[in-house]
Order: sequence, then structure tokens, then C-alpha cells
Amino acid sequence: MKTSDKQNPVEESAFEVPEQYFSAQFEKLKHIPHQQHGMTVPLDFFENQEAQMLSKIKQGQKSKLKYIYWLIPPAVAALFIFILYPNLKTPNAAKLNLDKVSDNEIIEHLSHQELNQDLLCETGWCQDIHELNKSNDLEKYLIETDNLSNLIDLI
Amino acid sequence: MRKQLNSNEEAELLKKFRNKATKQTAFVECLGFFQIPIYWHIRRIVISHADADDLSQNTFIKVWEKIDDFRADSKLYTWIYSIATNEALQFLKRKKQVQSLHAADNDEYLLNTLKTDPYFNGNQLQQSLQEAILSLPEKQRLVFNMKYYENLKYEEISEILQTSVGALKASYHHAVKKIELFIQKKLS
Repeated sequence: MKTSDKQNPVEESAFEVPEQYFSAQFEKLKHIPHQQHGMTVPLDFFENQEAQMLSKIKQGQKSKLKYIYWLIPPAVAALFIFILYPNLKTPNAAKLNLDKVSDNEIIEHLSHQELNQDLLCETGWCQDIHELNKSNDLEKYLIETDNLSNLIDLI
Repeated sequence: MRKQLNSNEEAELLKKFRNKATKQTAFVECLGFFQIPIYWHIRRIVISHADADDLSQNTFIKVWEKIDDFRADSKLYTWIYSIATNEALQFLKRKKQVQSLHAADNDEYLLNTLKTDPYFNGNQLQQSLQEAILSLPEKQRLVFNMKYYENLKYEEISEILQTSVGALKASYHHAVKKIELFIQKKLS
């Protein structure tokens, strides 16, 4: 039995009430609504409503964060495409650009270009050229190839 | 509970609202000032407790969301009252559209709501007064409630409803006359 029931003078007299009678009555009293010109609300209504609203605004903040989480995968995908796209595009672009350049232009460019010997040697070309020079294969190849006769003149 | 804040308190509250760290504290303070009057304001328009509960919550959620757009051209409480009034009137409009009600039936709908709402236990006189108020056109009903029950000044009602003070005074005068007639008929 609750303290409020024990303290009740009725219980101490000869009259008895059902167990927890007064706590139940107190609970009932708690729910007698506030009143304004006949219109009423439950007693704890405004306190509960405040709690509900605070919970809603907190949920709203959380759901905003949720949207941010949903945005991460598409953002990563977009970034990935943004980085990869130019690289994927480059070979085709190079091919397209070379197709547009004539043989003469390439020959012209090579004749004025100083080749980086060190870089050529690093890739193993020095050895190949040396081998070709030894066997006169290069000279033979160049003489036999009509298209490159102009190049020989230049060299 | 106070109806309104003085200008210093309002400025302080707005300052708190605009600071992310104190926004929630400001919201709780704002509820302390306006939650109960706004609830009753809405309740008198829509009559049902459950609807008034939903709409007053919507009002304060809107206050939370839109407070950054509030430029302080008007007082904070008139701004909140305007949101609440719009919410309540829009709700009635939607109800009317959904139920395809005519203007006369709208009064009927509100009267039925009053009679069936478990949170109305007014005596005969209170019920008659509510019925009389519900028989008024929407604008007169709003003005009467705001003046008679909420004791707002005409200047304040004018700011909330965007209507001239003269028109409001005329509306209130007509409303009082109609209510008197209604009650007299009911009692005779």
C-alpha cells in the first residue's frame, strides 16, 4: 500500500476501503482536465505536448543528418566518375588527335625535336638502335621504304 | 504565463534562436510563453481537442523551422499567432474540401464536433455561447474569439489577420449583436 493510503484517517477508523482505493482516486483526479469555457484538455496535456514537440524537432535534426548519409554514396560515385572520366577519355582523344595529324607534320615535328637520349636508353631503345646499326638493317630498311625517303634526306 | 514578451525579452529570445547552441533553449522558452495561448486560440477555431493538439504542434514546428526567416518586422507573438491562425483555417478548408461541404454545412460540422468532442463539458450557457459563436461567419468568429476570450488589442488582431482596425471593430460589433440575438432566441 502506498504512503498516501496509510496516512488516510479513514483507514484507521472502523470503516474500510478497498486496497489502493485512494491512490486510484488520486490517479483519477490527476486526469480531470484543464478547462476553459467548457472546453477541456487532459491535466498533463501541455507538459506532454511540450515533450512531443521537443522530440519532433530532435527527430527532424536527426533526419536531416540521415539525408546527408544518403547523399554520401552518390557523391562518392560522382567524384569517382569525375576523376576516372578524363582518364578513360584520354586514349580515344589521343587516337582522334593523331588521326588528324598528317605524316608530314609528324616528320617535321620529329626533325626539329631534340630526343631525350637518356629517356630512350632507359626504355631499352639505345640497345636496339645499336644492334640495328651494327647489322646495317636500319639503313637497308630506310632505303627500301619509299614513304620515308624524305626523312632520309632530312637526316 | 504571460501573453507577450517585452521588446528586450523578445530581442534576447531571438538572439538565442539564432545561435545554434542556444536554439533549443530558446524554443523551450518560447513554448513557455506561447504554447497554452496558441493551443486555445487554435482550439476555438477548430473546436476538436485532437485537431487543436496536432495543429498547435505543427505551428511550433513551423516556428522552429522558419525562425531564421523571421525578420522582426512584426512582434514575435503576432508572427506565431499568424502561423497558428493560418494552420487552423487551412485545416478547416482542407476538411471542407475532403467532405465537399458547403459553407452552411461547415458550421454544422463544427457544431457536431463540439457536441461529440469528449473534451467539451460546458454547461448549458457555455454550450449556447459556443453554438452562437459557431453560427458567425469565419472572420467575425475569429475577431470575436480574439477579442472576447484572448483579450487581444485591435492593433494586434489587425497585425495577425492583416485587416484594418476599423473593419475589425465593425466585425466585433456585428458578432456581439448576433450572439446576443442567438442567446435571446435560445432562452425564450
